[in-house]
Amino acid sequence: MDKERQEFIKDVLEYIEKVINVINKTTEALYNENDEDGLKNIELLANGIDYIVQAYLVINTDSRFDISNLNDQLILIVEAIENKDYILVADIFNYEIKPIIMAIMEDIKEY
Amino acid sequence: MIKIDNNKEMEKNEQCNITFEISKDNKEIIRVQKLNQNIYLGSKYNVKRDIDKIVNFVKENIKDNNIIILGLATGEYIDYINDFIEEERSVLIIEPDINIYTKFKEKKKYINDNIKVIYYNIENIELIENHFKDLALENFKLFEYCNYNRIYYKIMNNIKKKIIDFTISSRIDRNTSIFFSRIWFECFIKNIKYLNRSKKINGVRGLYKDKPAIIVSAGPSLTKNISKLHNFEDKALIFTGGRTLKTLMDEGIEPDFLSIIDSQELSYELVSDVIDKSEVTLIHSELLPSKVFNKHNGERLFYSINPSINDIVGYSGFNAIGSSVAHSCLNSALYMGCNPIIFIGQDLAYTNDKVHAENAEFTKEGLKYYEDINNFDNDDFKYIDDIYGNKVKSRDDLILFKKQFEEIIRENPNVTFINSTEGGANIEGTIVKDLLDNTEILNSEIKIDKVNLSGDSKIDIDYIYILKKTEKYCTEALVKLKSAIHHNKYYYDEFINKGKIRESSLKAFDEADEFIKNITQEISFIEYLFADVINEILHNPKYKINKDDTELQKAKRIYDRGQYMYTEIKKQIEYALDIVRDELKEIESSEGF
Repeated sequence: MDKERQEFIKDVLEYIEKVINVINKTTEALYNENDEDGLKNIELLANGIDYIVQAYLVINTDSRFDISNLNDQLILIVEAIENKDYILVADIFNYEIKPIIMAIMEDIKEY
Repeated sequence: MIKIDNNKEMEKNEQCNITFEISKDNKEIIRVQKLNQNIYLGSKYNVKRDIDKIVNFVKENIKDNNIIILGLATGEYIDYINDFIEEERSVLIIEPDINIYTKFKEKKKYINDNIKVIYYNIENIELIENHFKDLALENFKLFEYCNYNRIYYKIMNNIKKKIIDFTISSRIDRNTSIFFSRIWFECFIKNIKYLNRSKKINGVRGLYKDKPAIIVSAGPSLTKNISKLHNFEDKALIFTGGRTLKTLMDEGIEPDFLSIIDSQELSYELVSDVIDKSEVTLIHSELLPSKVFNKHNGERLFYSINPSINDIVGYSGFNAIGSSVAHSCLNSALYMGCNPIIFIGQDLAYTNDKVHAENAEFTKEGLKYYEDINNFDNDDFKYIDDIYGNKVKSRDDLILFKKQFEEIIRENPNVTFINSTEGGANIEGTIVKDLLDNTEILNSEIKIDKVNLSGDSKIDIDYIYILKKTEKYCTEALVKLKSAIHHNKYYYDEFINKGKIRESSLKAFDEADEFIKNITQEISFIEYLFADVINEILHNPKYKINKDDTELQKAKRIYDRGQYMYTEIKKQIEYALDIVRDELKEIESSEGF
C-alpha cells in the first residue's frame, strides 16, 4: 500500500475514534437529561459521520456494509429531535449508529 | 369574580394519547402523543436498563426509607420490586396520566400490599396527602421514572411541590406538636374551668350570611390603609388577631371578633394592655393563655381543635385548618357565612424588608427577638410573586401560610375574596383591589347588627370530675409504667443469659401497653402527650424489627423500644399529674374566677 494511503487510513481511524468518543459523551448527556450538552454536538456528529462514510467509500469502493441504513438512522434521529425524544436520540446513536461506525472502523483496519 | 386555577390550566395542556409498542429488547413500552410530539416513556431500545435503575434504587433504599416513585409506565418494574418490600416499608407510585393508570388497572397485576398505585389529579389532592401522612415523610426517598419529568413537566412539578409543601407542613406540625404538647396540655387543664363561660361556636354558624368581613393582619402594608377602615364600621365585620387589636383600638376602631390561637405568653402580652378595655367577642379554642380569660369582658365563642375535646363539648364542624391567626379569622368568617371577605395587612412577605407593620410591632423586652428580621438566615428567604407582578422576599412559613389561604379559597368557590393589602405577596384566587374601591360595601345602606347567641350554645362541663378522673388515671399509669421499666431491664438480661423471657415480664408489658392504649373517652386528651413518643417508636428505624435481624438483635430492639417508650411516657405522666394536682388545689382554694 502506498504511504499516502496509509497516512489517510491512519487519519480516518483516529477521526473515527474521536467521533465515537463524542457519541459516547452525547449519549451519556442525553441519558442524564443534560439536553444542552447532549444536543450541542449533534450537527458536528452528523458532519463527522458523513465524512466517515465518504472516507470509507474512498478506502473501500466495494463496501460490505449497508450504508443506507446509516442514513435511515440519521433521519430517525432528526425525527426524534423534533419530537424532543432525546432518550431515543441517544438510543439510536448508541445502538444503531455506533455499531455501524465501529464495524466500519474494524473493516478499515484490515486495509 | 376572578378565579385563578392554575392547576386546571395545567391539566388541559397535559392531555395525551398513549400507544403500547414492543421495545427492541422485547418488552412493552409506552409511546406518548402530546400535542404534535411522539415520545417514548423511557428507552425504546433498553427497557431493562430503565427497570434495573429503579429496581436498584428501591433495593438500596427500602431498608431505611419509604419510597415515592413518580411514574408508573407499564408497571413492569413492580414485578421486580414486589418481593423485597420490607413489612414496615411502603412504596407509593404516583401516575399523572389517567390513560396509563387505567391500562395498568385493567391488567389486574399482582401488587405487594405495601405498594400503592395512585393517579394524581386536582380532584384527588386530599387522597395524595393522606398517602403522604401514611408514609411518615421524614424517611422517604423520591424517584422519577425515566423521562416523566420531560413529558409531564407541569403535573410532575405540581406533585413535587405538593410533596415539598407537605414535608414542610409536617415538619412544622411535628415540631410544633413536640414543642407544644406539654404546653397544650397545661393550657387545656388550666382553661377547662373557664369554658363554661364561653358559648359553642355552633351558635354563629351561618348567622352572618353574605355579610362582608374584613380580616386585619399585621403585615407591613397595614399602615397604608388602616385608617380607611373607619369607612367600614357597621358595614363589615372586622376580624383581628391579637397583634392588631391594640393597633385598631389606637386607631379608634372597635373590631367585632378577636381570634387567639395559641397559648404562648406572647399571645397574652400582645393584648394585655387593651383587652379589658374592649367588648370584642373572643373566638378561641382550648389553646390560649389563661390570663386572657381573666381580663377579657366580652362574649366568647369556643371551638375545639383536638377531637378528644369534641367528646366533652360537642362537635362544631369548625374547620380549623391553617397555621396562623389570620387563617383562624378567615375560617371564622367563612363559618359565619360572610361574603365577600377582604384581607388587609396580609403581606405574607417582607415588604420593604419589614416583617410587621410599624404600628403593630411588639416592643416588650425578652420577646422582641421574634420581631427582628435579622435573626433569620439569608438561606431562609425565597422570592415569590407580589401583587404587582414583581418579586418580593418571603420565607418558608409565610409561603406555607399563603398556600393555606389559597387552598381555603379554592375550597370556597362561592365566596368572593378580595386582597386590599397594599403590597406583599399575591394570593391566588383573590381580587386585588384598593380598600376604598369596595364601593358596593361602602355605599350599602344596610348596617350589620351583632346577634346575641341562644342558650343552645351553652357549654356545660363538669371540669372537677374530669380533672379528678385524669389524676386517677395518671396515678395508676405510673404504677404500671414503673413495673414495665423494671421488667424491661430484666427481660433483656435474662434473654442474653438464659435465652428466655419471664412470664411476669410479659404480663407487666401487656398491662402497661393496654393501659396506655385504652384511655376512657372523657380523658382521652391525655394521649396528646404521648403522640410524639409513639411517633418515634413507629417511624425510627432503630426500633424496627427487620426480617434479617438475629434473635439477639430483635431482643435488643424490643428492649430499646420498651426502655424509650415506657421511660418517656412515664415522664409525660409525671408532668401531667403535677399539672392536674396543682390545678385541683387552685380550684379548691379559689373563690371563683
